[in-house]
Amino acid sequence: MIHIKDISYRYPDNTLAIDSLSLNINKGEFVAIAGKNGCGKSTLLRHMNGLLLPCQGSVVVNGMDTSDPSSLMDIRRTAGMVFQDPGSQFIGMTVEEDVAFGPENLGLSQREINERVDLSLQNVGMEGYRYHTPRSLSGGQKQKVALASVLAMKPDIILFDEVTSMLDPCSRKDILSLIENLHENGTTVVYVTHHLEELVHADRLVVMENGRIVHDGHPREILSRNDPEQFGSDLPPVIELARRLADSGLIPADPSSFPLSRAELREVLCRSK
Amino acid sequence: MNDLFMSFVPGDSVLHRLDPRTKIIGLMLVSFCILDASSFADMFFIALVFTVLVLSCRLPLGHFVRSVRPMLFFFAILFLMQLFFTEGREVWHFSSLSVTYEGLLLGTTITLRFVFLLLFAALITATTSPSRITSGIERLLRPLPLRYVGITSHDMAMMMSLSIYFVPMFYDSFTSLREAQISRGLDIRKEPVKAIFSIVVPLVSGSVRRVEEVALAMESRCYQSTGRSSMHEMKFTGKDHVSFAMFVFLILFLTVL
Amino acid sequence: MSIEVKDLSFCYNRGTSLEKRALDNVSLSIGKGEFVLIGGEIGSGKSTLVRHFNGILKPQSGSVTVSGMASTDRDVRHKAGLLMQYPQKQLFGRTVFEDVSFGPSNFGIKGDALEQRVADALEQAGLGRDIGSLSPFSLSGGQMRLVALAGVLAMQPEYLILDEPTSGLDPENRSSLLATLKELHLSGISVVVVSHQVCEFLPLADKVILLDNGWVSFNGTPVEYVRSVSSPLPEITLLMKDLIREGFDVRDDILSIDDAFEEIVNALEKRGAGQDE
Repeated sequence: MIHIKDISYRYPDNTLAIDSLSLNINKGEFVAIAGKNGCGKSTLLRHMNGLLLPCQGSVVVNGMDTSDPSSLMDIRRTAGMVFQDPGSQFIGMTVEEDVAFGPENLGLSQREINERVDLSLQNVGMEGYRYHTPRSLSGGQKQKVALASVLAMKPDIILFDEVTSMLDPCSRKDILSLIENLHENGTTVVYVTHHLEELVHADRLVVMENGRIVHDGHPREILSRNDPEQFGSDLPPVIELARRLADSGLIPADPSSFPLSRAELREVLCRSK
Repeated sequence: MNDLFMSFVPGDSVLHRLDPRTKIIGLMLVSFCILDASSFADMFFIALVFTVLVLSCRLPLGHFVRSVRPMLFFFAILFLMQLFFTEGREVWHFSSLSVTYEGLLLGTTITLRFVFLLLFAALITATTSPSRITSGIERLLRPLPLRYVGITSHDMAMMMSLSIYFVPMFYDSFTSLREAQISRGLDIRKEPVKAIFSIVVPLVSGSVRRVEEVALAMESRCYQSTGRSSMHEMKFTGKDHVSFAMFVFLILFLTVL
Repeated sequence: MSIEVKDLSFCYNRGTSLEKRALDNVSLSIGKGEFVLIGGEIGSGKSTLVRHFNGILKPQSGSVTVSGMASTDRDVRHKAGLLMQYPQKQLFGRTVFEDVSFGPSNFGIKGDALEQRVADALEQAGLGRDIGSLSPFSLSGGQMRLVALAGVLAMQPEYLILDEPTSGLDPENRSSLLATLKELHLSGISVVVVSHQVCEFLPLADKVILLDNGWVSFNGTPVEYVRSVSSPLPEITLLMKDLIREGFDVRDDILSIDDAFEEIVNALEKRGAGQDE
């Protein structure tokens, strides 16, 4: 689905952001990318729909090379992106117009646009806000509209760039369950985040450091043993507790059954009692 | 509230349902008539047209009064300028200032013209959503040879709607910045220069960042200036044709009058 | 001396069709030296409440006093220093020094005293005084937020009020901000945090106040909070409550990982001993 081969990228000020990195993402995967601030994870994500082009190496999305300008439109339609700040990705004057913006760029017919707007708003549960202005929405609602706007382009892949970092805990859960649903319905999800407790849903975790990949595997394997320093975050309390319990032999230390969530830890503890 | 100034009020009247192009052309023609109107009979006729339109769109008159209110100071200056600086038959004087009959007449008509221009503009903005206005303008601009200067009518319309969209955003950041600096002890009345500086610098730098982010969001949603379609269908209907007939009648009537 | 709020009510757009009641007869008191957490959903009125503490909003009915001074007095603004949400957006100085000195200079501090205050404030915010000569726009987002914090600290407020201080921060900067707040509180400054991320601040707080639609729906200690309020609760507390339901003998008012670990170890041992008998 996405083939990244040996890419490097330098910022305009010549600092190296990505250092000969390769990564393959398969159809239907839910890949989370984590790492410290400035490790290059957002930069990497922006290569996946051609917003940035590598200085060296190649990125191929669904068989289309991002360095080929004629396929950029198709690449962006295939791989939609939701950004961090819910306020500054609103383009229309109303919810409806914002969602229609993408389909309008694709030159679709009026009927098709309206159908897609309806369907995408229903998918994120915002159909009642069709004529609202962005100002009247909360951060979480804006982020749902942003997701609907991407869904309206019918992408195969959705790239999420720290989309929950400016949201309150409630909206964060809403957005995460929407993403989980999309994944279950076959959308390929690439999810950049700082929040390790959100990785529970992912079936693959990629950890970056200084523009390189340092870990690539199941979140259970990676979170059960590695130094949290690398993730740029403290471990979520439940995982930290689980690690301490495993270290003192109170629960099994086997990474394949290591608990990542509260429900999983409760199960493990009940079994060991 | 500032929010109500020239704002759109959703509705389902004839005026709401007219094609935006009809309304824009209509506004242009009416403006022409207003600027041409000089007698009180003309003004009365225009006022009559306005009243009928307001009644037909079923909006409270108060909405339009609020649209004029922020400009009252400007109208007052305009009126006084004409009143005192027009030569003619004196009707009243106060030391070296004198009010003439011609001044009174000219002041009233010129001020009324501006008031009516604003009222009719408010009528359009109240019954047409900003995006329909921009797409209407986009369609009207399409035949112009804009591509020779390197832009398309879509670019023009996009620029317009983004600038309309940025106004409330700008206003919100302005309010929060003002509160932040006041929290840090800023006294706007005492030190206006410092105040302006401490609000404008972050306002501009924040907006630049915001513009970059919006541009990125547009790009990743395949923005292109040619080959776009629109979710708002634009089709002249019977109502639009009748409206055009009425414009012609209005103009003829005013020229004859 | 304390912040006293008495029968405070406030409506936005009063007298228009858009009228919205934000605070309804709120009375509360924040003592000197306390770390108070004000929580509640978006639109519950918490930001409106703290905007009264330093006089940005004037009470429509009721009263607010800070250390005995009416909040409408301009001098209240340096007694109760307010750090707004996303404060990095308010930076404007050519240098960090210029920006941090903005607050105290507005209250007439000059010369050496001003330099000393700025240096102290940068130190307190955990930035170090060397940063003073840099442009604030060359710093990272997390550092910019600390510069804005220093800008408020430079006014040497008795009460430091922060509106959603961790919103949008990455975890690294968030933990260092939490550590800074803890230190400030230990040094004797009263800290008032407004946040919908209640769980994050629970271990630091002396007192929790919850607002719901402009009402005070809870006012008590963090332990009382986790016992009586159903959400939002920290994952650790929820885990302990889950375990109690599964028949474990653990406490229901646990806030820290250390305590949770100890409780679970004890519960498992007790159970082990019980099975041996």
